[in-house]
Formats: sequence, structure tokens, C-alpha cells
Amino acid sequence: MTPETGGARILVIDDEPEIRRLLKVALSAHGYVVLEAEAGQKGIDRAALDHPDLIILDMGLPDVDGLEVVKAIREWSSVPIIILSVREREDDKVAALDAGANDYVTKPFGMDELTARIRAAFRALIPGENSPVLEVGDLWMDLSKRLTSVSGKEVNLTPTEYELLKYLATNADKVITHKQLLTRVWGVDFVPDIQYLRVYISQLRKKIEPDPSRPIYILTEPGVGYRLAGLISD
Amino acid sequence: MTVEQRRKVIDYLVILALLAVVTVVCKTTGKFFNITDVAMLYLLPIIYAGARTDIWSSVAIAIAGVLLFDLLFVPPLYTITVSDAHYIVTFVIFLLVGITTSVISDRLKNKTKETEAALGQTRAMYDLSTELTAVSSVRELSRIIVSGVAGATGSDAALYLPDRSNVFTLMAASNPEGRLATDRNEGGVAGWVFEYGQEAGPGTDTLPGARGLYVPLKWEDEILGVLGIDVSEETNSDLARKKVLLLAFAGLATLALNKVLLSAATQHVKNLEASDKLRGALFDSMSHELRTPLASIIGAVTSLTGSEVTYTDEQKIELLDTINKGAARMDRLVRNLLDMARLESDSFKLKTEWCDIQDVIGVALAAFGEELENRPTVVNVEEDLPLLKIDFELIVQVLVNLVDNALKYSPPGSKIETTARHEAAGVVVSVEDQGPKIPNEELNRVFGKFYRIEIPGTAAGSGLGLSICKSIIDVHGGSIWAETRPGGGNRFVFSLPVVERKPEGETR
Repeated sequence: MTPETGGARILVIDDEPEIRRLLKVALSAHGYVVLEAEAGQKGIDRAALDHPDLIILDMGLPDVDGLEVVKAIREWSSVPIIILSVREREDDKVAALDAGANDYVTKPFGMDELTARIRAAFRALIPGENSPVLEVGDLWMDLSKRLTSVSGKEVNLTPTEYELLKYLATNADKVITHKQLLTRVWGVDFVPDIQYLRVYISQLRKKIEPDPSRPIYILTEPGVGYRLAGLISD
Repeated sequence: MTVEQRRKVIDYLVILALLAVVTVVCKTTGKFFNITDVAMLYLLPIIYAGARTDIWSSVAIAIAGVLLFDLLFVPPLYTITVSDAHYIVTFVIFLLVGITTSVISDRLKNKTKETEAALGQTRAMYDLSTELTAVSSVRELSRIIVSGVAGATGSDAALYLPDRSNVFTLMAASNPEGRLATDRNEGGVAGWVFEYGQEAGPGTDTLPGARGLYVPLKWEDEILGVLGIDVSEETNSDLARKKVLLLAFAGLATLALNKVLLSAATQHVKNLEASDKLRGALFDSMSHELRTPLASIIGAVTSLTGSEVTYTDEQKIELLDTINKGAARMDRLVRNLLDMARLESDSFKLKTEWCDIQDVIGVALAAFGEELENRPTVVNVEEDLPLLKIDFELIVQVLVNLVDNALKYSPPGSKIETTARHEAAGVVVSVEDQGPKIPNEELNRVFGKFYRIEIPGTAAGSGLGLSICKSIIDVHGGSIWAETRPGGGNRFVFSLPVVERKPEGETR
């Protein structure tokens, strides 16, 4: 079923033995090799020694907070990290994503959802910048010609709108926080209000979404940021 | 006899003695003193009387002096008649000296009295203000204020404040049986003052017929309360003097009250914040405790129902087992929550019956099912343990929590040992694990409610289990504690008192 990810190694860092056991059974059945660590420091060590292809990380660990684990791993590795936590406050999500986590799934979770996020994280690894054409469902972007079209019809985007969409599309399926979008598109020195961002997203939706009030491309992650839905093509 | 009265008697004795001495000396020395000298000498008792006694006594002494002088020294002797009209002048001077001295000394005395009174009031206010700063309760403060006011004014005093439910009440009275405190009309006058923020009572425009004079305790635009004194028997000048005093004390009382009320309000806000924080932490912990088993249940169920992959039978069994364990864990948590609610409810009652502790241990361990399978579990129960009068289910819950704890905080596969012995303290049950030692300073704290959530970075756990254990053991009259094992690991111990069994019917 998942030939492109077959044999990929996933490190699960979680102190709950039952969660580790569940993930081991389910992810093995999906063709992944599951490594385990029951504490933060051990997880960091295994990440360094075993070079997993992806890390599933719990935030509430007995020794080191999950956020610190993300920061520690990000010092030397860009391995995709998916947070799997009971913490569902927006602040927690934003902090983890800003620290460098790739995605955030809250417990309890559906196994289909988790495996979809894992696939998305792997897909994001396939170099996007090298290929000048991005395709998400009916949305099509040619980065070399700065062209965007929806269902074959060309869409006229302002430079800011284009940058926003390009950033979201190259990170399809990944939650991008407000802060990440703002600093990426408007630059580090100029961090305007989130309201500013909302205006551009709204304009962008009017141009690319079939129904802007029920978006299928640019999805809102309440309190956290936006995600470009990449699963449409699946 | 008061000091005052004694002093007066002495004064009169001195005056009489002076009169006698002057009379006797002048009479016996014959012609040594001429008549002018005698007149001068008679002025002595008169001046003394003027200085030391009231005006009527001075006049009386002056007349006595005149009579003695006239009878004994002015010719013709031993008659009141006066041969020389000159002596009339002497008599008048005698009287005038007596009256003038008396008036002047009276004035001086009054001045001194006033100064002393002012000094006393200043001192009283100073004392009150220092006393007030040390007080933090409104009731205590009120008591001090009324006794201070009553002491300084010499009148009954009363202080009205809104109570906790904001009802205007008599908070303190210097004389709780006095008319000022008991007359309901007086409360009405005070209520008017509180409502309108203006003074009322004798000497004011409002309700001058009242017993008490009431002033509002005003802080900025707010009326904190009403202070009043009984002035029903005062003259106008005294009323004015007392009003000044009352206003001064009202100012002092307002400051002190405001300070206490403010700090009470701050404390209230602090308490709210603390309970808010605790509630937040409890919610976080509950959400974690409920969601973690839910996560394994939902995760396993969605794996099984999903169409993405086909699981082998072995994998299916493992997923189903995950669901089972998650459900058991949720059940334990819910049980703990229910127990906590029960133990804290007012209508809580222990359902005690005679129980065999071995039976309790067996039921508790059975609750874990397979979870204990890969753990060497040792149970040592001493022979012939007495039966215990306990609530079976609750003690099972204590053991379940202790074993659950041991499972959670000791390495997989390590031994868990449960022991029951008869000791002096009763039947002592302990659960030992080989987990990392709890630091000594934490050993007592682990039974505190929310212990776990007060310490960031510690492992999962609601922090309810051990605190519920303590509550349960407490209501059984036993004790529970934690200690580290000499060989490593921790030991959680509880003791239950052994009660004498009353023979029921036939004994064995």
C-alpha cells in the first residue's frame, strides 16, 4: 500500500507503554519499522544514534519537556517531527511548531489521520523546490514562470499572495504557524499583525477556492495557522 | 473616699488650722502685731481658700475671717459693732480678695483641665491609631474603635458597617446593653446616615431628637460605615466638643477600615487566582489522565476498522488488548474520582464489615489481570491475621492505587511485593517496588492532593491516587506513609487498627 515509505524507520518517543505498543503494532502493519524511547533524553539519544526517518513525539515526558526535545533535535537534524500529545491548547501547538516540529496531532487520534500525516511528512521530504511545478488537486503552480492556475484557468495573484501560496504549497499538509508565514513572506524585521495575514488569506481564497467560505485548499488551524490540504490528489 | 474628696477635706482642715493659728498667735502675742498686721495675717487663709476651694467656700472663709477679726481684734472687742468706719473697708477687701483669688484660680484650674483633656484625647487617638494598624479583621477593628471613642468621649459609642452579605448591621458597641445599642430607632438613624452620607442626631439638621450623634465614615465617594456616640445627656458646649472628637475618630476609623477592607479584597482576589490555578492544573491533569487511555482505545479501534492495512490475528489480539487495558485504566480513574467525591461529600458513611485482608489483597491484584503477568508479584500474608472491620471496596481501592503506582514508577519486569503483618499498630500492609527512590523530602508530600501536578516535569498521573489512599486510610483511623527500601526502591505502607470482635451469639 505504501511502497514509497516501505521500511522507513519511525522513532516513537512516549512515556505511555500502551501508546508505544499501539503505535508499534499499527505502524508495523503499515510497513514502517518502529523504534521506541520512553523518555526525552533517551529519545534524543536514539534520534542521534539510529537516524530515524521520522519522529513521533509526546509533549508530556517525565524527564525533559517535549518542546526541549524538539529544540535539541533541531540543533543538528531536520528529520520530520510529528507531535502526538494530549495538550491541545493553541499556545502549545504554536510553540511546538515554531520550535521546528512539522505537525501536531492531538490525542486521542484516529489511526488513519496519523498515518495520513506521516505520509504527508514524508512527501514533504521529496524535494519540492527542485521541481518547478507544484500540483495540489486542481491547483497548479509553475514556480519557474510564476504562474498559478485552478482547474486549468489562470489566476492573477499579487506578489504577496503568490509568496503566501507558494510557501503553503511547498509545505503542503504541514501546519504553518502565523508567525512562520509572517516572517517568511514579510521578512523577519517586519512582523505585522495577524489581521494583516487574514486579509491576504481571504483574498487568496477568493481567487483559488471554489467556495471561499468552505475552503478545500487553504485550511484554517484555529489559533495556530494554516495548512494547504494536499490530500485532495490522493 | 476618692482622692479628690480627700484633697478637699485636707484643704478645709488647713484653712481652719490657718484661721485658728492666726487667731491664737495674734491674740496671745498681745501688742506684738498691730491691727493692720492682724488684718494682713487673716488674708492668708482667705487666699488659701480662694486658691484651693470653690468660690462659695472662699466667700464663707472671708466672712469667717471678717467675723473673727471684728470680734477679737476690732474695738469694741467681742461685739460685731465697729467703732471705726475704716474697718468696713478692711471687710470689703477681705471679701474681694477671697472672691478674686477664687475666680482666678478657678480659671487656671479650668485651663489646666482643658489642656489635660486635650492631651488625653491626643494620646487616646495616638494609642488608637497604633492599635488599629496592627489589626487585620474588621470585627476586631470595630471593637477597638468603639472602645477608643467611648474612652475619649466618655459616652457610649456604636459602629455600624455592612456585613459580609452587605447588610447594614451594628458591628460593635462599647456598651451592648446601653440604649444606644439596643434602641431600634437609633439603628434607623444610623441607616439614614449610611444611605445619605450626612451626619444626623442632636446638633444637626436631621433627626435632632435622636439619642446618638452619627457621622458617616466616608472614603472618597464611598460610605464605609457609620460611627455614633450617645449625646442624649450633654449640654450644648459639651455636645460641640464631643462632635469635634467624634469627627476626629471617624477620620481615623475610616483610614483603618479602608486599609483592612482593601487588604481583604486583595486576599480574596489572591485566593480566587490560586483556586483558578489549581482548577486549571486539575483540568490539565484530568484531561491527560482520561485522554491517554482514550488515545490507545481510539487508536486501536480506528486501526482495526480502517481499511488501509490488514492485520494478522496476532496483531489484532494485541490491538484488542490495548483497548482492554485502556478501558481498565479509565475505570480506575473514574473509580478514584467517584471515591474522592464520596469521601468529600457530607453524607459520606463507611460501609464497614469484618474482612480478611488476604481476601482484599487478592481482589485488588485480580483487578490488574494481565498487567501483572510479566511482573514477578510476591504476596506474603502472615498466618492468623485478625479480621478487620473495614470498608472492603475502599481498602481494595487503596491497594489498587498502590500497586498501580508501583507498576507505573518501576522498571518493566521488576518485582512488586505485597506484605501483610500483625504489628503493634494493627495490621500493616505494604507494597514494595524497585523503582527509583523517592527523595526523602518528598516522602511526606506524595500523599498531598495534586502532589503530582504541583511538580512540573514528572510523569503522568492524576496525583489523585495517593491522596485518595490517605483519605480512605484516615477515615479508617489508620495511617499511611512512604519510605525507601534499604536495598533500593520504595515501600508504601498503611496500617489498619485491629478492633476487638464482640462475640455475636456463639463463639467459635
